[in-house]
Amino acid sequence: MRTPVKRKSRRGSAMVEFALCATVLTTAFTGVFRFGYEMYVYNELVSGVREGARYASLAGVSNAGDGTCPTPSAYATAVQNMVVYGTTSTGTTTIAPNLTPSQVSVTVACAGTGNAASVPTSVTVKVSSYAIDAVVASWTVTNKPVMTIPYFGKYCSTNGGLNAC
Amino acid sequence: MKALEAKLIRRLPAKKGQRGFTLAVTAAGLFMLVGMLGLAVDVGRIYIVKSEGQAYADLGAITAARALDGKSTGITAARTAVSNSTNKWLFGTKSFTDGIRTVEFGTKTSNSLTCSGATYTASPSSPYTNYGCVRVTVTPAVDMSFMPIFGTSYTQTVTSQAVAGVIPESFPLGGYMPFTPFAHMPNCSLTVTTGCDSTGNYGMLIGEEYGFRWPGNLNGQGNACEGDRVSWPAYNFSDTVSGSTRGYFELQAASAIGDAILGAIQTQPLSVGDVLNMTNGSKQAEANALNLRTSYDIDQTNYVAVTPSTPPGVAPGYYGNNMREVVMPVNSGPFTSAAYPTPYTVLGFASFLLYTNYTTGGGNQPWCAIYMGSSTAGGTGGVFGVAGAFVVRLTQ
Repeated sequence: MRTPVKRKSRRGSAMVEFALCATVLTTAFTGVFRFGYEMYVYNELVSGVREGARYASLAGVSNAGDGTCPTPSAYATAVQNMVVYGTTSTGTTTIAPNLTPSQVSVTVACAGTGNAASVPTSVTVKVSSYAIDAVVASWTVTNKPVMTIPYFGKYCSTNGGLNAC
Repeated sequence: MKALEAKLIRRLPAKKGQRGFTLAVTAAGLFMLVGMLGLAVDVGRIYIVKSEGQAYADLGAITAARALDGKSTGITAARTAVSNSTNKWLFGTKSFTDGIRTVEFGTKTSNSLTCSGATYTASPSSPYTNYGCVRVTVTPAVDMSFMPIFGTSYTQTVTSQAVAGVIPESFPLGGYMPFTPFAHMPNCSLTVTTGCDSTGNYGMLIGEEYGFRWPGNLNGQGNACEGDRVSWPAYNFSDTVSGSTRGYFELQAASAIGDAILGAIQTQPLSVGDVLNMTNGSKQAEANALNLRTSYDIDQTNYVAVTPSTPPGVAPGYYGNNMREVVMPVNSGPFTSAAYPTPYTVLGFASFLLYTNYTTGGGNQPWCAIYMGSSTAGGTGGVFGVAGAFVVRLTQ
């Protein structure tokens, strides 16, 4: 009558094997999903920032022309929307889940002296902070992706002169 | 019975082997899982580095091509423009250094619209006017975490490349502007061999300004654009056309004027040898449309025309989007000759750079634009270093 004992033992070892394998499998599948999803979303962010930067390099910038170098809010909003929605106005579909324009940073940089210090020379577009939520874990990207592009667009100054608005 | 039982028990070792089979299958499954993990992580990283590298190459090539000026300084400036880029790779953590970045300059072997026929070198030599294409290549090596298990190398080089060129622009925005300047002399051809311009510039100087809409009262030459006034004695004729029929040749309604100027929309084909029938049009409507058009240009620099006393002329370093640089038909003027017996005959097409502001003030004020060179419209020529209309754009 030793046979039933052996059968019971096999059933237990199957349970243990399944538990071990399921743990490994679940961990591996979860890892694959997490890394794959994070890479996918990050790649979308890179694409969005690139499109936004290219738009930012050509869109018109106007400021007071008094030597200060602010980033005009309307300009920044258009660039942020370009990154998030692919259009200059607010859209309905974002390139990444729950990404909002406020999470995109747009900074105009100027060079020169005097009033010329108001003329843009480059623009930096970046995702200031965004959590990529892969369900099992979340990865927060800070100040990336970032892209800086020389400014080629039309500049005008409310201060008059050659570049008067 | 006992013998049978013993026989059955002896067969148990075979079932014991099935337990090992589960582990073996799991091991094989793990092998595949690592492969999937490798694909997710390593290939994912490759894709991201590819995106970052391509963005770097695209932006670098455009900024470098814009820096080309036909001199060695332009070559240096182009290299600097690429190396000054602060964009990075591998999740924005690593810089593109000289070791993984190549900047090459292309000499066009023919009038190519794509730079595809160019021969590239990293060390260009004189004459630098031949270099109209820039190729930027980056080759970052991405470390592999899982894929080496399957025999691949420990790093994977991800190559991204972009080419930007100074491209001849034959038909900016599809059509001609509805204005027509006067040629100072016809270009030399098989039938016209004397009293002609052998350089193909209609007797005009690149970089100098000329009128494309002349005033009713020339006042001697007092009401003429500088290029017409200083170097063309014939520009002192008795104006035989009337009203606003002085250079504009498209439809007359205000909306049509806007379409013709803003969109360069033509209502009829125009070829060399055609006689232009100029039409009346509101000068105010024309000025409004011209100013609106020029306001769309990304280059709002007020370039100053060169003086004809210092030839050879050099075209301004305009880098806009062709809202200001336009193509107009050049006509034979109110004069007649054996070769061109009818006034206002189209002799060819040329590129002109519009100023940023046109007014109707003064009544007899001419409208001037800077001559940029003979247009390549309808013909060959226009390789970099030759007069013509050009635009910088990515070609690969």
